[in-house]
Amino acid sequence: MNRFLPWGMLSLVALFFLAVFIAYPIFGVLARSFIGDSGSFSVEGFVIFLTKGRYLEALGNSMILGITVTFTCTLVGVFLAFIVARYEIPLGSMILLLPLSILIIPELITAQSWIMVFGNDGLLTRLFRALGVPFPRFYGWLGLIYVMTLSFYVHIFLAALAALRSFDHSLEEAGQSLGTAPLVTYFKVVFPTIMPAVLSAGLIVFTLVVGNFAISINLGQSVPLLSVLTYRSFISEMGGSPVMQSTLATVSILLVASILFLQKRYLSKKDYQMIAGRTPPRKKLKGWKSLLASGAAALIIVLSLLPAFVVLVGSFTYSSGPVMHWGQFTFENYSRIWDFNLDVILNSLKFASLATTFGVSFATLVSYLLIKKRSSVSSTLDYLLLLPLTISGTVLGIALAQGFNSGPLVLTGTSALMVLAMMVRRLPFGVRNASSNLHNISNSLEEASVSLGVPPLKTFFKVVLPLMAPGIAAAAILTWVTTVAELSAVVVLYQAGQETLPIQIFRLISSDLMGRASAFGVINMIIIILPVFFGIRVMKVKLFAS
Amino acid sequence: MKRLLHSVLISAILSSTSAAMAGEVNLYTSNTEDSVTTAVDLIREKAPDIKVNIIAGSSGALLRRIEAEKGAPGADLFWSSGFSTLEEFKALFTKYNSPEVDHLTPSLRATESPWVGTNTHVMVLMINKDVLEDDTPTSWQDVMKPEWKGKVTMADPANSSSAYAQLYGVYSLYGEEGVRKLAANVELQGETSGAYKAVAQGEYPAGLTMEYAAQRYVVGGQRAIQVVYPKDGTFLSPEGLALIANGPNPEDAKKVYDLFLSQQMQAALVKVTLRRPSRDDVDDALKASGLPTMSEIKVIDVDQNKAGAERDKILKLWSEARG
Repeated sequence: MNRFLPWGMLSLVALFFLAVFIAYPIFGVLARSFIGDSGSFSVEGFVIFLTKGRYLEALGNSMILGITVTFTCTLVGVFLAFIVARYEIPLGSMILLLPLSILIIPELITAQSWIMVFGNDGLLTRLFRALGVPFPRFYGWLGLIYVMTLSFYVHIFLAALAALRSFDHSLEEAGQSLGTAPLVTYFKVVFPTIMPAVLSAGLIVFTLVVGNFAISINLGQSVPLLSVLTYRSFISEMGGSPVMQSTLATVSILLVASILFLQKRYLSKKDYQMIAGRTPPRKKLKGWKSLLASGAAALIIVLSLLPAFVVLVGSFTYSSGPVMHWGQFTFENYSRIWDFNLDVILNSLKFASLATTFGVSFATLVSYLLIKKRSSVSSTLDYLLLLPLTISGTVLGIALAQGFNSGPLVLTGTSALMVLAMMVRRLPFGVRNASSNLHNISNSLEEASVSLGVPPLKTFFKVVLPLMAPGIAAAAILTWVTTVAELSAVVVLYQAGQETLPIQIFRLISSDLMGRASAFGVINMIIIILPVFFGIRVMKVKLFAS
Repeated sequence: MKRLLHSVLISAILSSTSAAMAGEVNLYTSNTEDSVTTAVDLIREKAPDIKVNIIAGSSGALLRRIEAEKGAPGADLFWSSGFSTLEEFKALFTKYNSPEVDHLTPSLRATESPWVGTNTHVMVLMINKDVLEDDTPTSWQDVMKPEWKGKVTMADPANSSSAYAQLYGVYSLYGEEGVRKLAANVELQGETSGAYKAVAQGEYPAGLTMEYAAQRYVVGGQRAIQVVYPKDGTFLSPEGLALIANGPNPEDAKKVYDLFLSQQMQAALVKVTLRRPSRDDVDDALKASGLPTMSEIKVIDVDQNKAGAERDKILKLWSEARG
């Protein structure tokens, strides 16, 4: 009895929560895809998927896009990591700010700003047109691949950088002293050892591309993609077919789940252990080589940061309906927000702070239970926490909307469901962050406290929690950043009066009103950046510890 | 900054006086915030004793909300949605014969239905002269010619109600043969906005879209954009305002209803939205927005109810023709 209270009971509560708000809606989607219009078992949805319309084409396009972008991200990410790890280049320290910068620019805003550069009446489009230079059409494959590469390569960059830094330089020296040329050594010794890290980051990129909504819907007008079709089947002006909604969602769940399975199978076999690696010294490059390396690195950095700048300028640019008058400045885009849309900002703040508070509290508790108080339900908890990773935001949104629109708990259309979607979507990452330094906290501290007569719960709050604090702070900041930028799940859930900043930006981009979308974009970035800045500067939180 | 101060002042005054106000009207609206603000400002001026509460959202969501609230309606007025959409929710509304109706274009009066036309979409060809290699098309028939294959775009009629109105219009003019020719030539965009954006971007020299959507670019200053009213006739897709059955404030709601149909309101709204008013005496406002008057356009009468009833048939024909 004593062993069951309080931790055993809390484990059961956590299990119940995850079962109701993660497992039930997701399995509901899977089950509904096998129920026909008549209400009995049927594979009608899959027959339509395989034989009619553009569904198969969309699946093919999504896979092709996923593979292409993973490839381009690998090129860019590994290249940049290699330059940073091996050479002393100017701005080297700035490059390490990259992950942060990409984090604070939501994908939606990256897509928006590149549309303002290359898209309809874009800055460079106009220039090319004036010069009479034919410019390929940006909406479609070109735009999708370009913007997605710039949005996602950072994942591979970080993984490759970490692997390169832990790489034992003596291996490379051994290769070279045996007479192998430096370049050949790189390919034969260095690259195979960083491969597992890069590949596993690559698979993450693949799942991000396949599930991506914000970039896909804004740039993929003429390219049918699975994620966009799934969204449209749900939001159709004419009322979509429930069977197809579930079928499309199921196909996308199966696709991502099989990728994660592959990752586990393949990568667990190929793991190189580095024993106390000696980090290779960083070389100084000279002459044209230096120019080339630092130039290429600088270009990547500039392209990564440009969106924030374009959106900032765009927000102060006078626009008349859909036409931007670059060079004419105004505060009108902001004064309109002040006049009409303050509640959009308030909604964003309200939903994101609720989702962050609940999400991080829950993640803290669960990570403690999983690591320090393992019980018979722990492994089930582990698996349930993996589930949100297998689905894209849109699918999660659809699963929640369908799962809670009838029955004992009706939540569809409420703000509570919006908050829940934001929270559930980021839970796996929250748990990972919150538990980051839990392994280092010795059990004996806790035992000492308990044996001195302090009750377990009080011990948790007085002893364990303060030690977990850095991990929790990092989890809170990352959860905040991602929930403030959240679009794909809530865009299928929101009702009148529940618009958040990303939803409003999305709607304005759809009507081609870029000036106003930019002003919202700037506000969105400010709301994201303030806590990050505060956390890093004032509270000294390490965001990328793991 | 001036506007900012202005709005602070207004909201301060409003909050201090709202207790003294006589009436309230709850308006559910799917219109853009700038058109709603224009309307509310005018109502405030003309009927200072009525306070208008706004619930904004997409028309589908709002209509379903009105349906859900049927037992105890919270809304007095719904503004606005296409006639064919309103048809599905007919039972939620009640007929009001406004004295202003006599001034409307006859086909937008909706005398048989519990709503009234406030404005109408006009289906047009939107042209981007930057990428136009041929002569400017002047009719639906022009873009159905074989040489236009792949150079003209529209939204997917299965997803977009306005694209369906375009398709049905072509069907009523040129029958099944017309549908086939159109299907052979157009490239489809996933949603309504895709068509006009693609033309503005210069992906296609021509697109089928709505008058206001194309005119926004003209008024905005994109010189290459031209709006063509096909000379073989264009189609209207009217949008309506409706009084909710058993709403909480019927008398004040009727006053607001009249105001929505007033000349001053319609003239003010067309300036903001570029959506063609339903009144026939707003030519000056139309000209000021660069729009032709109703008498300058050739309109083909399309039966909205029939268009709705034949939807499945036409879409089947369409998807067969698309192959």
